[in-house]
Amino acid sequence: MKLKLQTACLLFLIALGLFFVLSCSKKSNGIMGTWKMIVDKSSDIDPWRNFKLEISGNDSVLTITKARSAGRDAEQRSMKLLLGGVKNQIVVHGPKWADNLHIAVFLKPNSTKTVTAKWLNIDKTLEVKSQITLETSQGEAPVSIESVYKVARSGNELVLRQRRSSRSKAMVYYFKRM
Amino acid sequence: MKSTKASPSCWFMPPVFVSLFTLFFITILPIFSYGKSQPDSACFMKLADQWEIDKNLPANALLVSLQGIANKKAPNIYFIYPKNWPYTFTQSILDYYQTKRKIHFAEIDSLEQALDLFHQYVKGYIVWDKSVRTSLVIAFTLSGLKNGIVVSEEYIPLAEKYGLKPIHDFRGQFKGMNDYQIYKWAYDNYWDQCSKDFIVYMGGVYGNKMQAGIADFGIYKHAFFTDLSCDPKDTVEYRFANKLFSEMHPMSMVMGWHSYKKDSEGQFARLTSHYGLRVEGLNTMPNLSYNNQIPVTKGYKFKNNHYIKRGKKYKAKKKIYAACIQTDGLGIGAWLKPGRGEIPYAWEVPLNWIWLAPAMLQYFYDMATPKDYFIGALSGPGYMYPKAVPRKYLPKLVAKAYKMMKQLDLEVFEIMDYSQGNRYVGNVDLPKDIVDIYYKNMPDAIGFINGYGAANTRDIRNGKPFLSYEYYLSPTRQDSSVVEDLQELMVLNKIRPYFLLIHVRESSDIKRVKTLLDTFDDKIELVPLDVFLKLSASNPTFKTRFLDDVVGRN
Repeated sequence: MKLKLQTACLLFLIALGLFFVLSCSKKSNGIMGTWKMIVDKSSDIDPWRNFKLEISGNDSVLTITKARSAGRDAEQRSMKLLLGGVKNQIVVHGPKWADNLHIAVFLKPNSTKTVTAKWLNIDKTLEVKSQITLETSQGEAPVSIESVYKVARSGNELVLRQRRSSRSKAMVYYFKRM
Repeated sequence: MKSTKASPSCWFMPPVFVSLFTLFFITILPIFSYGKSQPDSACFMKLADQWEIDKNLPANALLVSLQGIANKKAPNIYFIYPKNWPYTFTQSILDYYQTKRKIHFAEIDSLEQALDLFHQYVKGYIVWDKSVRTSLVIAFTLSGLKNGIVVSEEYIPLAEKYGLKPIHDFRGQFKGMNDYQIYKWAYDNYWDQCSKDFIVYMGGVYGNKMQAGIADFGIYKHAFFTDLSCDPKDTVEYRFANKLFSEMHPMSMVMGWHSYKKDSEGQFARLTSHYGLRVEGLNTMPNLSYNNQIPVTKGYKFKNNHYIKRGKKYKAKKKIYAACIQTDGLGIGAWLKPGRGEIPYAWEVPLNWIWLAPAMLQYFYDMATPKDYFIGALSGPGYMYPKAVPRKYLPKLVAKAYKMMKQLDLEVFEIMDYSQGNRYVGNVDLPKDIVDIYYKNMPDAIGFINGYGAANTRDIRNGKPFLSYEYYLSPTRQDSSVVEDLQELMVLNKIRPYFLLIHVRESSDIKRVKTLLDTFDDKIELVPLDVFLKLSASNPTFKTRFLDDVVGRN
């Protein structure tokens, strides 16, 4: 009887251990998930105060949602991307260009941007390239934006490095998993 | 600086004689000497900081109510506000009144002394309930109607010491009631007796704090005080705010500011504009009951620093020109901070000051350096959103603003419209028919500016440009990012000349602006705004664009 009880306890502990291991392995340490920007560590996003990133999907389709806010004001943009070199045509709504609200550079409402995305390292490093036509006081200006999303080995930090053809220095944003 | 210390310690006579002497000085003399013109003398007092209910708000509210009452007969009391007050000029204007305008000021040292000197103007006292902040807002309304000072319970003995009788005691009356119910009660009891030319929004900071700088003016003008929400989601308060505005006289004044807790600036000014009303902010505006009664010096004409010479042709070179305008009018910005006069800078003049506070406006004109250039603001004769103003009022309001511009020697007018968005979301642009109204009703203006943050409305007619801000210089943007931003604009706008109009938030001082622009050496030429407009008209490399061109909006 005593032996049976010991065996049952042992089996229960093994099962619990397995459950724990499986649970941990299920929790993504890849790029998918919700991320919150670490303001003090990142490039300046003024006038925004908060920046949240949500990435979902699989190896071939991704949805990237950017949500930025400051006080009562907030904006959110999502784009669904087919990966592997597909030229995605994404409708932009405008006129505000949330990437930099201080400059007189606007999105042409209901125009499109061309976006290609590919894995540099599946579920770890994603490269997104966008071609967009912006409106300035002097007319239209084509801009290309290259973004690389890279998850740290720990899986808890994501770094977004962004380069714009119109800007000399890259912007780097650090996120922690939510 | 000439001032008399009304404090007993500075006089060789007992306190009672000090008070009698000062009283004579500030009341009898002005009556004999000037009638309605500039007074000879007045009293001033330094107000304490900390406008919390459990700190100095009770004493300050009492004093501000006393100021509103005492100034009804003549400009008797002036306050110096704390150093951290949003309007930074109260000491500087006092100095101006003393040195340039030869008004003699005696200093009041205490609340008791203020009551000693001015209680004869007061008809009683009104007790507000410290546990219901809104009761103070209501008490201010009643103060104006009945000439009663507002007191919290600890000041009742003091009021009675001066023989004052209670007019109303709000303690316990509003317990458990929400703001709508309180304001509805006030409406039912006081609205009919209140001015329909002025309403006061006692908003701004909230919680256990109230910065009641504008209260003296509301009392002086018998205004109804409120801070009803203008957010449509607050359906009950919003509807009631609509009702109050609809019962004001057309094109009348909304003094003060919205509550930072209840709604946004855009929602507030959109609703006031919807009734053709004109906002004159802020709730912290100090001493208006005093400043309202000080005229400009006899024969004075407002004279702006125009740089452009009539008849001279201005031709832009193939380079980048910049001009800077400070946000948010005069008084709350960089005027008294370092750097003014070092670079060409434009300042937004709140047009109504010409009749609300003429001498205060003269103070700015008199102080202006050759590099300070004034422009008219904001959207009309008072802050308003043209897209929200009923079309039957808009041309009249613009014409009214233009009349004031003429009196103030202003040739450039600035428009801002947050009725469909703000610096973050939506749009701040104007449709062509509204641009038409400004051109038509301000025929001699040499140019127009649109926006607060960057905007995208532009036009040019008969050599008169209508431009939008190219850049909003945020006080919280890192300097390195500002430099990158400006470089990005120069990359994206490749044609030269390029006209870079910068709106500098008032909390940045001119030193910062100068340092940032110096980074570009000769790449950017900073010019006075009127020259900038003429140069942009000589070679308009910008595209004409109106809101109508936009199909989709956020």
